[in-house]
Formats: sequence, structure tokens, C-alpha cells
Amino acid sequence: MAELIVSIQAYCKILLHAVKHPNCAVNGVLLAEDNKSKDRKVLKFVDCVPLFHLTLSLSPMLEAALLQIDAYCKSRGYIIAGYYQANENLRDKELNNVAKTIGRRIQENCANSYIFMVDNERLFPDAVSEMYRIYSPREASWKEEEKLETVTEETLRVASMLLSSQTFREVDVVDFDYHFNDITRDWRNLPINDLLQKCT
Amino acid sequence: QTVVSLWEDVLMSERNKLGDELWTVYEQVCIAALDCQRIDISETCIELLKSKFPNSLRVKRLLGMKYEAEERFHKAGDLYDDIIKEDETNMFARKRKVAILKAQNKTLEAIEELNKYLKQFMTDFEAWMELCDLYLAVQDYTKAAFCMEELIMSNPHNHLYHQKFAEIKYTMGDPDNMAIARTYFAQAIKLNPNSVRSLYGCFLASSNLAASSNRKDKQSNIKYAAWAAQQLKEKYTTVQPEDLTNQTRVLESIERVLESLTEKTSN
Repeated sequence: MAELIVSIQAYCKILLHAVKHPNCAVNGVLLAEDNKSKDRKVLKFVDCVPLFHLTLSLSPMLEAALLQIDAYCKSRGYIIAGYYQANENLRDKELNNVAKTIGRRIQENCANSYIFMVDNERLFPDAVSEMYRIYSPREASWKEEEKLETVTEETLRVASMLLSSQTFREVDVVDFDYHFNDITRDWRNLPINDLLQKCT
Repeated sequence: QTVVSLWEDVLMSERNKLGDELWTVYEQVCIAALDCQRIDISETCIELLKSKFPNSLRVKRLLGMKYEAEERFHKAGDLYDDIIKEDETNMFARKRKVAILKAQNKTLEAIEELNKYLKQFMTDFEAWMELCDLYLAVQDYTKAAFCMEELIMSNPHNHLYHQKFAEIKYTMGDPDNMAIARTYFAQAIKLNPNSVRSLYGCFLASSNLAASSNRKDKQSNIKYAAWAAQQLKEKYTTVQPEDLTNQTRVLESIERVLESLTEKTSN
């Protein structure tokens, strides 16, 4: 079982995306360094790209988004190796069919991929543990990986600070829904990357 | 959130100056407070409104929403049933009942309840959209498509309805539905030539149709895909700054799909 590392950038962007749309389900993909020649045992997620907050389950926009992200990844030596989803209801942390279907799609491209289901109830400033549950592919379904620590104390500190200082309200998280409505908006969210750099 | 902070900081002390508007303000603050889980503020507002308008159904519904926020769904449901008994045409209470079921993740029951509502209030477009989304949540694409058809029939010029219908048909996957998807994406483009989603949709649908073998209209599909790709490329190059397009490699991704199509035809 590989060791997973989730960078501050990836973790905080997921957080910001989820809290930006408290009344909707949100999803996105996680990008990892493509480890073909390196150590296969560690999978490092360096960034994430928020996808949608309107309808998560329709194919065409998902395919268009993945096409773009894939081309981007190839130019940077990354690979789409993860998928995150936060459900609409506060108490719903179930790995639903949408997540499973999209997870499978990603797995076709990258065998060593994971699903991160966000637990909405853990999205508050004093949380001491990670906000998601991780699932890895097992035959026909997905199995929860327990006792995996993927983030550092530093990451949790920054996340907590973003929530408690209300910074998240001023930050603009551009996902593919916004991009398709106005293509000048950049889904790489570089301003957020800069902000996070400053926090560390 | 802004409403609640404005209320607390400013308006609460200056209430007397608002005159008759006061009551509408209370109602709005109450709803905003519920959104932010400030049950304390909402309770105050409800009490005040109740004393002014003792038998009002409008106040009753605010009370119902407060129960919903506190997750006392049974109490909320009973209250809404009372409202419906008193006023059978009350759309709000019926819709809140659907919302309660949705909040409890009882999607199938929510669908049933919403269907009942729509039999009586067939022209409520918001409700049809909500029903469509509920069907999508349970992956019943056929029924979701039906909801969109109702919406298209009532508003044939709304490109968003055509687009969503096309997306649902595309998701269903098989060639016939894919062809329908392509048609509706094309219609959406006709209604709104700037819609990037429809252009992508048309591009992907045509590519899919062209890629699947044994179709007589392979050549025309390749042409459609090429046309849509051209439109997309123009949009990206005219609107986005050049380095952004280069960095996100968006044009290359479109090119790759086109290339794979033409390769297949030459094989």
C-alpha cells in the first residue's frame, strides 16, 4: 500500500472549493507527480483542480474538463491520480455512484488512483484530523483506507487559519463551471497558490 | 452572512426608523439567520412577527424553516401539513416538504412528493429543474431527460434547457442518444453562439459518433467536429491571453481529439 502525501496547495484548495459552495455538492481532481521512473511507493499529490459545483454527474463537461487537464498534466509531468467530492448534505459522506463512476474513469488512466470523500462535518477551524476519507480501488468496488496520514501539521494549521480568519470568503475559487461560463477565468487558480505560499 | 452582520451591527438599534418596511426586513433577516445557523436571531424575529401578525401563514412557514434548520424534520413536516390544510394552493409549504426529504437524503421519497406537486402545479419551472436534478442524483437519465423536455416545450428559446437536455442524452451514451445530443447542442449554439459548453458538447458528441465504426454519416460527423473545434479555438485565442492558452494547453487537447478521428478514417 503506497504512502500518500497531500500538499498544502492541494488540501487547502479542496477546502476552499467546498466552503465556497456550502449549498452545493462540489468535486474535482487531484494531480500527482508522475512517478514512472521514481519510487513507486510514495504518491505525492501536488495540486488539485476544482471541477464543478452545479451538476456533477453529466458526462460532456466532465470529458471536456479532463481533456484540458490531461493536456496540462502532460506538459508538467503530472498525472490525474485522485478525485475528490463533497456531497450536498451536511451529513452525507457516502461514496455515491457519481464518485464511483468518475473514480473508475480516472483509474482507467492511472491504476494507482484514489477517491477522497470530504466529510462536511470536519470542515471547521478546530478540526484536528483530515477532512476526507480515502478510498482505493479493489476489484469491483472501493475500499476505505484507514489510518492514513496524508498531511502535515503545517497543512492543518494553514487550513484552520483560512477558516477561522474568514479569508475563504474573499478568495475566488475558479472551477470548470466558472471557466466554461467565462473562459478568461483560469482554473489553475494561481492567485490561491500565491496566497498559500504566503501563509507558510 | 452579510445580512446577519448588517442586522446585528446597524439595524437592530435603529429599528424604529424603518417604519412599515420593518416587517419585511424581519422576514429577510430571519431567513438569512437560518442560513447562518443563528437560531437565536431567527427566534427573536419570529416572535416579533407573530405578535404583529398572529394568524399569518407567512409567519408559520418561517417557523417551519426554523424547525428544518434545527433538523426537527417531523415537526416541520407537521407544520407544513397544517399550512396545506388551511390553504391548498400554498406552493411554498409543499415545496418545503420536498426540501425536508432531500435534507434527510430520502431522494426517492422527495421525487415522489415533487411529482405529486407537479401534477397540480405544472407550470412551476423551478420545480421541474429540481425534479430533473433529483433524477440525475439517482442516475435515472430517462426521467431527467423527460423533465428537460417539459421545460423546452414551455421555453423553446432558452438555450440552457437545450444544453442540459443534450448533456443528459450524451451521458446516456448509446449512439442514438448521442446523435440527439449533438442535435440539441447544435440548437443551443444556434440560440447562443457564445456558449462554450454547447461548442464542447457538439465537438465531443460529433467526435464520439465519428469514432464509432459502421456509421454511414462518419464523414459528416468529422466535419461537425472540425467545425466545432474551429469555433472553440477561435474563442480561446481571441478571449484568453496567449500565455494562458499555451500553459493550459487547451488547443492541443482539442487537436489531439481531431487527429485521432482522422487517423481512424484513414485506417
